[in-house]
Amino acid sequence: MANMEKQSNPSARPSLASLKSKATWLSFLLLAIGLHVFESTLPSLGPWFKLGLANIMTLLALVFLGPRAAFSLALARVIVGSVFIGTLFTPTFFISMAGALSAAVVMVAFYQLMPRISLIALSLCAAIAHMSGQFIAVETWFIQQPAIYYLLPPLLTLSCISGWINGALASYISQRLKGIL
Amino acid sequence: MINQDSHPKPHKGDFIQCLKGTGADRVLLFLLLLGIALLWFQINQSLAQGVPTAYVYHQKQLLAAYPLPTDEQVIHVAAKGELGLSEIEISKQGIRFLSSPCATHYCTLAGQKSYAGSVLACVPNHIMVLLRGSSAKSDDQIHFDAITE
Repeated sequence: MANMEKQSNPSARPSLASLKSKATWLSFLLLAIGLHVFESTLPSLGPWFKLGLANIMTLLALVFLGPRAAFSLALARVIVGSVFIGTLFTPTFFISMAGALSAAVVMVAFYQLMPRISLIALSLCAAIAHMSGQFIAVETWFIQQPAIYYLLPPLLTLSCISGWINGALASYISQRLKGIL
Repeated sequence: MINQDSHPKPHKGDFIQCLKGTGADRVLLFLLLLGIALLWFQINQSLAQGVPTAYVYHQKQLLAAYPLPTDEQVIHVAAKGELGLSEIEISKQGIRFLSSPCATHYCTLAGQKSYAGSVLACVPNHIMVLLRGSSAKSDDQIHFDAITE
């Protein structure tokens, strides 16, 4: 009955703008999953260091679709990406989730507080939050030794470099997409 | 459909321009790197004192603490974690995981660590090895200072 009512009432249909934003979110998600899986195949500089390429898509989702889309994208990307690489509900999954959500929280907070902030600055802050979030997760759930934080400085240095490059890439892509989305 | 005419083709220079960032970005990067350098220095200072010693932990519990051997002696420690036994080697050269029951083996692939503040961890097995105290390199420095005095 409800379906029939929906079909007979054209105003109940989703608007074109809503469909477009859903399609954009989905395409960002697919790209983020692709980057997440691609990154897992690359040789790593260290046990906990990843380039964070998938964060580019979270940044783009934040800029084009808003904070809710960015959060849901970060969450969905880690879950679906972990299914593909076979790490769902393993320590890697929880560490990855903690990092992705920390980065998303920091991105959204800075974006809301400082609307004129550049994507490079956002990405830098997100990269630092990503690495710190991962370490907090490792310390809280697995190792339970504060000494694990001694590993942070070299990895944060690498995060700054990768954050800068990812921010520049996000900035470049967003400039190219501005007329399309 | 995307109207190609309204979107000029990207130039190489566009990305280079993005990569340069703004002045504010560079200041932020500088401040972050400065903060990290200070943190790193602080950690190294606090950990480099005393005899070089390897500490093996399972979560909050200290399982073993061995001073690094000064001769060719090699100490093997079997640490029981969540998944099973992790085998750790402590020698004059430093610390390393020989084997671990985890699936990823990041701990064994990390190789040997010899500097004060070095940390090796097998996250799935909840085992961590920490090296405190001045390393062999720092000892040389101390001897040299003593001679000059």
